[in-house]
Amino acid sequence: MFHSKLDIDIPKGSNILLSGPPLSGTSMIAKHICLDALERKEAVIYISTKESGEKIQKWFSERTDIKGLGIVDCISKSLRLKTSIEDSNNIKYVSSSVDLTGVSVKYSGLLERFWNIEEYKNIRITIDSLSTLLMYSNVQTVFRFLHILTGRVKKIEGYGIFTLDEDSENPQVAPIRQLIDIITKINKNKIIFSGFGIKEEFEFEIKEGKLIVGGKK
Amino acid sequence: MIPSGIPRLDSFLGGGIPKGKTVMYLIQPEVEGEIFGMQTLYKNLEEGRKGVFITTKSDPQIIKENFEEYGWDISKYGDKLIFVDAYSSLIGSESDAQYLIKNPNDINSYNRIINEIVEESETIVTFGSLSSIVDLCGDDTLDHVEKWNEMFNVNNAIGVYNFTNWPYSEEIKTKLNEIMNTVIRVGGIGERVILGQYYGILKVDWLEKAKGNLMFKIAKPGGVKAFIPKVLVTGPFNAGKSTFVRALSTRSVSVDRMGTTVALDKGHIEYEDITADIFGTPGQERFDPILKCIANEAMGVFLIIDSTKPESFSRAKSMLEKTRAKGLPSVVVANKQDIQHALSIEEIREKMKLPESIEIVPTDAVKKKGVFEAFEILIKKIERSG
Repeated sequence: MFHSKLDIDIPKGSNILLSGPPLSGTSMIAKHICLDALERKEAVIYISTKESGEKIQKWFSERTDIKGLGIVDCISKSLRLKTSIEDSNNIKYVSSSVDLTGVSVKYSGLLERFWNIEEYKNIRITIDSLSTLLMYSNVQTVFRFLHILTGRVKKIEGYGIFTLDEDSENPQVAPIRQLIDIITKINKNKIIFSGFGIKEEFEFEIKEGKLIVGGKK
Repeated sequence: MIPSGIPRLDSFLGGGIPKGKTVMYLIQPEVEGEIFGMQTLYKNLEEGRKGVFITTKSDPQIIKENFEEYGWDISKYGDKLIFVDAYSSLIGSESDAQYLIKNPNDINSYNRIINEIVEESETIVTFGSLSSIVDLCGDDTLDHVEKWNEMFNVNNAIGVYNFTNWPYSEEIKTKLNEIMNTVIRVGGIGERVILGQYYGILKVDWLEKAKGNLMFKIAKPGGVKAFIPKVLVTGPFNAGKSTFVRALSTRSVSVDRMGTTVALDKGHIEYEDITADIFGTPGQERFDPILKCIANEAMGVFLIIDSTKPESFSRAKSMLEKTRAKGLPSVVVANKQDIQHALSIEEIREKMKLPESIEIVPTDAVKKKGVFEAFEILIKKIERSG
């Protein structure tokens, strides 16, 4: 199941882009989609380029059990948010958002743990956000990285969820669209899913920290 | 020759890396491989050589901290280690590195600095990530790398490159293979997720034939350690299998009843730069199904025999044949050599009709005599079999 409240049937192994203009709430939607999965005892690997791992962990732990949550933090080391930074069980640190090799090593380690040791068979990998990666590396570099990651999502039959703080039609991100199965556009209070023969539109609002989804349009 | 610092790699390379040569660690994405270049550099700093580290993905301070995670304090090498910072300019931050690449997107800005550095002979020039320089500077980066390699050669320097093997074009892959003297693949094992890691030799241009594969684990502290996930210990009843497992292991457990193993022994070995998990099977015939079952994923086998009991040799031989049929590297361990009427290695070989290609190692497992020699021999066989 992709989400318990969104009445939409997205095949396992899909890679989903959540796009929308800055401040449209792509990150918040991504978090709520992951929260819903954690509540259903699925595993989530959250790659964060915008907020520190501790902040992400706090957000989730205030809402649900975070046993199935793993975070790859791309900013704390480069911004020196703490003096001594060492990997914890839930949070893994990468030197910077430029270090895509490091990101791949860290999510892969979490994946092995969830898959093999803890026997989670439903795992989603989220990047929040692609826009930061594209700021530091050129689009071909990000494409090659995503090529590996989206392939891994298909192999494990999980979900890949990637936020983009700009219009997905932007020609600059054209190569990346090739790796995406479903494009989601978020605008004001609407989410529109398209791809795989799916074309669905939902209304949503975030009220008292909860994602409220209206009916299909 | 200079050492690679990677467990067992020097023996695959014929003793180490000859001066003036280049080594590339070709790393599969998602596999923790960049430590290979770091470990080669650190080993050589330890031995008093000079080193250079070119960083493209974080500032030198964070690189220092990355080394420290493996227990390697590089600050004590002072001037012997030079940082080339190709990161700070990229994100527009300050740098106090001795050498700063002002325009990391322009390969020419690397040229000047690398020229200058290489004049110091026998330097270990380590590229934290060549793939990220290719990402920044484009496809003709490798033409420049080819020239750097020629310079290294002339100046007796060593070029050490980490390269993450993202899905690049065939041209880049072919060219890379051409311009490096050695290519070591660092890869992952596993269908749907990566469950184990290995390295293997792809190319060594100073050897006729080079071969070798080894699984590894990363220890913090410690770095790359060779890892043998499953070594089997088998042999007839009361030959000393449990004692042998215990003699090799840093920690072990066995399931015993009245002093005899009834399920299996399990031990964990840490010996020099190798770690291994070792499993002993009970010797009685009624437990043969266990032997079959755990021999399945084993990487090598010890057959333990009691040198004082020739009547058990035919049973031992049939056990050996079961595992050899699977093509597993194996070593015969002639135990209880301390007892007076123990047969000699030659007598055992003749009685068991074993060809010269099967090593027989004399041991006294109770006193731990010969057990690590036997381990070394088996590891060598496993390495060659991959």
